[in-house]
Amino acid sequence: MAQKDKTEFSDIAQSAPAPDLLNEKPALPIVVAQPRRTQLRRIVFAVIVLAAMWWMLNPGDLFSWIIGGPTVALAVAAVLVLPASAPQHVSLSGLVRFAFYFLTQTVLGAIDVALRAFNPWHILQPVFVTRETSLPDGPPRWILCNALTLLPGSLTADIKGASLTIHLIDPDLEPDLPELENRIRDLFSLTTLDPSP
Amino acid sequence: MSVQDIMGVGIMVLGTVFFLAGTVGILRFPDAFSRLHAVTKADNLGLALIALGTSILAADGFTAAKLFLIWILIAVSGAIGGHLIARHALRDKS
Amino acid sequence: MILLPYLATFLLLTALVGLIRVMRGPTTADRMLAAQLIGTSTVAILLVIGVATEAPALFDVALVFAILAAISLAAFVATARSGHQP
Repeated sequence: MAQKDKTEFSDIAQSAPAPDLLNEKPALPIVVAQPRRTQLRRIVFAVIVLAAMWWMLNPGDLFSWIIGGPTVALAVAAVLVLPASAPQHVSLSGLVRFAFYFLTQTVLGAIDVALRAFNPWHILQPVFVTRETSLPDGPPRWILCNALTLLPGSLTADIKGASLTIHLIDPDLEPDLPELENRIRDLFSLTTLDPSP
Repeated sequence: MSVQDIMGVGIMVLGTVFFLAGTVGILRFPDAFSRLHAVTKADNLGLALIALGTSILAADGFTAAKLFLIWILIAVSGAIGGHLIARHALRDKS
Repeated sequence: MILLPYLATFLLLTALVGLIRVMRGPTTADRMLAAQLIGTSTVAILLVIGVATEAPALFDVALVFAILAAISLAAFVATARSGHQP
């Protein structure tokens, strides 16, 4: 039963040779047209976010900006030194929907693993499965890996291009990968692929 | 003792239950990968509940925001770290 | 809140019991995941003590520990990789 999804997804993912996650810059085949974020916009955005964060951590303390000002400046410099990720369009409604789904699944996953730990007669039968993802390289795929880790019963053990090695704490707890992928597409405003052939 | 206090402490007690589950998990589960399930999932929710209870007791928006930031940091580093440890263990084995 | 110090003690005990996994291993991955569990417990203990003693500065300490948890994981992965690929 572990093989049932594989044929449907491998042909989508195999269309391009998958680059290694760590050594390749992501070339994102993203359909959404968003103007390339200029350097100035990055700086302004980083300053606003980091200053808001400092204000949040030290509310109302004006003297803390003696430390905070230089810290924000250094952090902005660090942001500029690091390579920019390819522009991503994140839809706000998709983010809310994904966050809600993610939180409920995280709670379910924790309850599941806690029950397994507390049940003295329960014997684990963990297995490894390999799955192909149809998500593009870059942030969508990273989100998929980390979401899988927090979902009930599954843990991303390795990723080589589009091929994920997933550790399942129980063979019956295989996550619904197509559904999760569609939710991540919804989050990034990617076009939804119909999994049925 | 107000309703708020009871709710906050109740949520924190629930959080410690998940911490206990995480510890029982890493001692009982048979291999490193299964133990990672316990660490990444149970402890993550445990900390979320502790932070939620703390912010209910503290009853302050800025404190709540700080606690949320702490939880996000731990959750993200836990998920990424779990993946990296699993990959290390897998490549070590093969 | 009379219950909160007991909660902190209980969390400390779970973290201490987690140390058994650090001692036993058997692999470095086991030790590191136990260290990760202890790091998360530390943050939780700091939050509980911070609210019990009404010392909000401990929340800042917890924030630093949360950042250190991420850094220690990065350090583990970096050294483990270089150690196994001579």
